Amino acid sequence: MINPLEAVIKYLKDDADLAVLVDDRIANKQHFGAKVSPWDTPSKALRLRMDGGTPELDVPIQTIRIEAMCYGETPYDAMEVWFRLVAISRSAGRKVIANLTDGDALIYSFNRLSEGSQVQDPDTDIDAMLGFFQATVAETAIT
Amino acid sequence: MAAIDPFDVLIGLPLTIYVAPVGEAVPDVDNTPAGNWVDVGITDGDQTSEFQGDLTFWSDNTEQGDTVATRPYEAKIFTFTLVSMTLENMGRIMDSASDVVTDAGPPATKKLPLQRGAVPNPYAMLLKASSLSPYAASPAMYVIPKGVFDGIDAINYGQDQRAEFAVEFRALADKAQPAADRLGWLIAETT
Repeated sequence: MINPLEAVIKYLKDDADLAVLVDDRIANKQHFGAKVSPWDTPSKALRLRMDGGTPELDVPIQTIRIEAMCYGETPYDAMEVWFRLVAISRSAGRKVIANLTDGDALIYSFNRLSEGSQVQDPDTDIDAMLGFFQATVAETAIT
Repeated sequence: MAAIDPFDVLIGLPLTIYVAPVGEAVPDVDNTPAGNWVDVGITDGDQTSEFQGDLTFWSDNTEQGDTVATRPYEAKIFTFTLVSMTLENMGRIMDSASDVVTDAGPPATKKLPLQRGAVPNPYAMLLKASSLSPYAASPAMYVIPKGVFDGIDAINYGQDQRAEFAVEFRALADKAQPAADRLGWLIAETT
């Protein structure tokens, strides 16, 4: 079974304009202050977590809700990362994401579920923009 | 659960809609329409492809159930909501694109007559998306060789409103096409 969050993280890692902002700092957990390869503190970064969502019972597709925490050196920088995600979410059409752990995935859509909220990350006090997305990803790998 | 190919399922694929005079050459499905094909403008999310045509059922005294079905009439209708409200875009749907009058002024203006007239102009239409094919992440499109713009919903203006132009496009049987294609066809790239 394709891991839908892995597909979305790879999809966002492949976006050149987002990479200009966050480099390779896109992960499922924030790495500020980590013991191995910590992220620079502060810096622009993106943490994506699965956050529930409404299950699709009849068709092997997962409609996951993703919590996106966009970090930045300042509130403005955090917003820059968020707005790049907004721009990416406007790109309509299905996308093939190749070479995941379980094969090639098909992402149907990556849509915003909310506008952003400016927050401070409770663990690191870094300025961040919190928002939610829904990603619709096929469970079966493309053959 | 039956096995599916992920490409079978079409989610997240808004259509881009183009119109041209009837008889305009239809581009290959993987080309962007050019020449006289014009994008009608940004539409609100939902576009609808509707089949109409009720069956008439016939029975006889030899059977408990119906024995014959026929479809005396059918229609193919697309509905969409235009949100790009330039006078040219509105005028195209009202058959009066050529009636938009530009005046250098001052003030510089454009004017769109509101009367649509007794005989509607037919158009050819394409509705396509770059990943609409059920076989691959490839383009597909509906081609309607001839049709007319029909009902236009009311435009609502207001503090919390967006003025939108919701319209129907109804296919007319195009006798220049082979019999099965007269109300249009759907073509998908398979690789």
